Amino acid sequence: MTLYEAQKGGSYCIEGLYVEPAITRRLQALGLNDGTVINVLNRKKKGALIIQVRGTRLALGKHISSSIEISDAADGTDTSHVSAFGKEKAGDSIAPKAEQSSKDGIAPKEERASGDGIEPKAERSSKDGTFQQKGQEAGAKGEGRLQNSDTSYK
Amino acid sequence: MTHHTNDNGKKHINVACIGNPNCGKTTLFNALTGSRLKVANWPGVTVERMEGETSYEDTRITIVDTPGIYSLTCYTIEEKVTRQCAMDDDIDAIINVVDASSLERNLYLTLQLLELGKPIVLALNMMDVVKERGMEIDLHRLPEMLGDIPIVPVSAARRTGLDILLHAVIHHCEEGMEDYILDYPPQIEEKIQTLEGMMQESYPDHSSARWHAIKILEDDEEVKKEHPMSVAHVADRSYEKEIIQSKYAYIEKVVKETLFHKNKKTASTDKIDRLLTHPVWGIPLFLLIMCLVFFLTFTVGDALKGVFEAGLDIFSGTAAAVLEELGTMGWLQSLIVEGIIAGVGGILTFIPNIFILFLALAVLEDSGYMARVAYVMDSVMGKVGLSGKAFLPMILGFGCTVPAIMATRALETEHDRRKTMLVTPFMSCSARLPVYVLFSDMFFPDCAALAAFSMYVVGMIIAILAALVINRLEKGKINDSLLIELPEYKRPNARTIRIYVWNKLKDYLTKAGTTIFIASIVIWFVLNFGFGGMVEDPAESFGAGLGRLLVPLLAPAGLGMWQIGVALLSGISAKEVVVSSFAVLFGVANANSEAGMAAIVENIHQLNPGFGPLNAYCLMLFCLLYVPCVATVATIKKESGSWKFTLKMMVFQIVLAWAVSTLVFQVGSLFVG
Repeated sequence: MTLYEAQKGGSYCIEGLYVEPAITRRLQALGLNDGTVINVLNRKKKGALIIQVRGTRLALGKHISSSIEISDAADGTDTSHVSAFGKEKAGDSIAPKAEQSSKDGIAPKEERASGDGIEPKAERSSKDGTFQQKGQEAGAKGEGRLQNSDTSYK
Repeated sequence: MTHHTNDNGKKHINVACIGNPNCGKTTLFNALTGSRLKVANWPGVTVERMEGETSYEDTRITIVDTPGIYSLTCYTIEEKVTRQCAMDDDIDAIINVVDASSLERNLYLTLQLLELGKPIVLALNMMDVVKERGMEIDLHRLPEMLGDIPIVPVSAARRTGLDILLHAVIHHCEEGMEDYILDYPPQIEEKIQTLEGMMQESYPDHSSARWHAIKILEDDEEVKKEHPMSVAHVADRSYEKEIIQSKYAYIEKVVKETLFHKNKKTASTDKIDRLLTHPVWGIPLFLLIMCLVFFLTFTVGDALKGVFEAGLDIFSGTAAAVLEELGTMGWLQSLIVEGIIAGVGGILTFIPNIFILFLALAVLEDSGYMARVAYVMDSVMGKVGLSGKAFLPMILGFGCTVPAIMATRALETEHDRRKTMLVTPFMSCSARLPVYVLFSDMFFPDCAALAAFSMYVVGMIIAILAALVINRLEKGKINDSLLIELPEYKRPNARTIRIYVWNKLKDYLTKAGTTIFIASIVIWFVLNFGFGGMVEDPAESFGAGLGRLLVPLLAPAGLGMWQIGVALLSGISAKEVVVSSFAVLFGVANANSEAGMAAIVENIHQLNPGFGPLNAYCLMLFCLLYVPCVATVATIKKESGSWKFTLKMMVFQIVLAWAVSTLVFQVGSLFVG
């Protein structure tokens, strides 16, 4: 689901940013990256919301919040996030590969922190991902978005 | 290091303060240099690079204050200023100001700055907030993890740790920077090193090859443009996402090892926010707060007015007596008493209102509420095609339009900037306050505050409607891409408020002593001289001739008096001058006193018995909407870089002012009879 659909008071995990490159960069610089946990502090029924991320508060408009894919932070941290497949294959395989999902879940914060330098998360972030729960019916949408974000990274 | 040495053998270094928005750079800059730049508690207050001087032992230090940035990849105008400053070869060292209470996010910029390879000293600001929250930072481990740069805890607001900071800067400058390398994933590191090699080969003078290499890998347009190399085989795509994530992964590690007892106590801000950013009550509460600001401005300001009036009366009486005693020529006496003292003095009696207005705005800005207004008003602004952020310059416009126009630099697109510049002058600035106070006191004795307050509401509505119409004409969409950081609420700082209010009062006094002073003299001349030299009756003066040209135009709006034409024309120099010119016209020593007002009303009625409250209201409307003062026009020209845009804006404002006041007068006449 997207951040726009999030509940006030909920805690979520970012799965991907699918917005114009300029805003994506800004959001990433503000610390909204894949796997970052955010809390929704307040929201209007239709419109902007206030989130807490990395100890700061941000107000985000609908355009941005509806372009941020999230999952519940409480569960699904390990299984929900499937990302590493090449862009050539973006269309066909939405289905997760077991070893990928275990490799690059959101959970391994400890694993990240335990490593000496920065644990390379190349596989995880090598290309924009999509989501297990979204299932096949979301495939078309996901593909469109993927292509969209692909161009932004060229 | 490029130390500069000046004549007396003193060393000289340039140091830039760089950090996230709202982390206290300007407060630190003020503390270090003794400057009095504006400080407030919302992101984007500083939009310009400013320089100040200080010295430590035998070193002269030029400190540069910069607009806040989250990253060295920039989009808005003020952010580019900062990036340029960071990369400027003249900058010998960087003080990276870090808000310790949001260390995690602030360190992202720090990691980028470290890659620049310049000597960096980290000023850990807001340690008091950290303590208050029951958090602790391991000051031993933190530098170890950040390439052994000096880390100095400071409190910019309380001015502690400043000497240690300067000491660290100078020492670190001399020792130079140790090579600091953040480890990226091997495949990226490999690319960085390849590009770094290419950079060193092509640009051997560059000091920060690694930084440039990383930026090329992030597909940074500007760096690529400035350093044309064929890099396609290495930077086959943007690796920005991976690079950013690597940095944040490292930061998470740093925070884990150095920050303890996180998130213990942050509740108070959230509690206040539950009320002030309430989905339903947010907007009514905002309007209520603004209502309170203006209510205080009118009532408390008026209560304090007496003191100034008494002072002015004595001064004016004494001056007249002294001039009489000295046997000064009649025309000179008239110029001084009826021109300068009436024009400038009358304006000075509004100081109490101005003082209260800016005091209230200062408290609002320093409390942390400003950024919330952007959130609260986002839905309204979104419908007219602007982001909630565009409302911030508009609120600043209640103080003065000039800084408000400059504040539009923080907006993301040039299109949004121009639109905001176009509507910001409709927010009643403090200079229009005297006009409102005077005319509502004169013609609406029973509900003066309400009549004046309605101008603020009308201005705000017209600003939003104008934006809406423009949006429709452009077939623009709803704008819903708000992105703004909401700072913690805090108790307004006394020093900050003092600086803010004093700066504004000083501006007002300066304006009274320059623009209004000169305008008063000019008005006196055009009203007292005609083609045949000095005239007895102002109706034969140049001014009257000029004013009469405007009468046919102004008549439909109920403003068909040449005196009003003169007042409105002169008001373009500064809006207060509208009041000055009435004072000069009728030779009233203090327009803001009861006697002065009575004299003006009597004069107006003598000239035009039909001039009633409706006409006065239309005059106030016209003053609200027509061309802002020359200073604002000049600022808009400078900020938009286009005469065409500026002229179009002026025509639009004149037409709108005329149309609205005419409409109100014609419709109103039906009811008033």
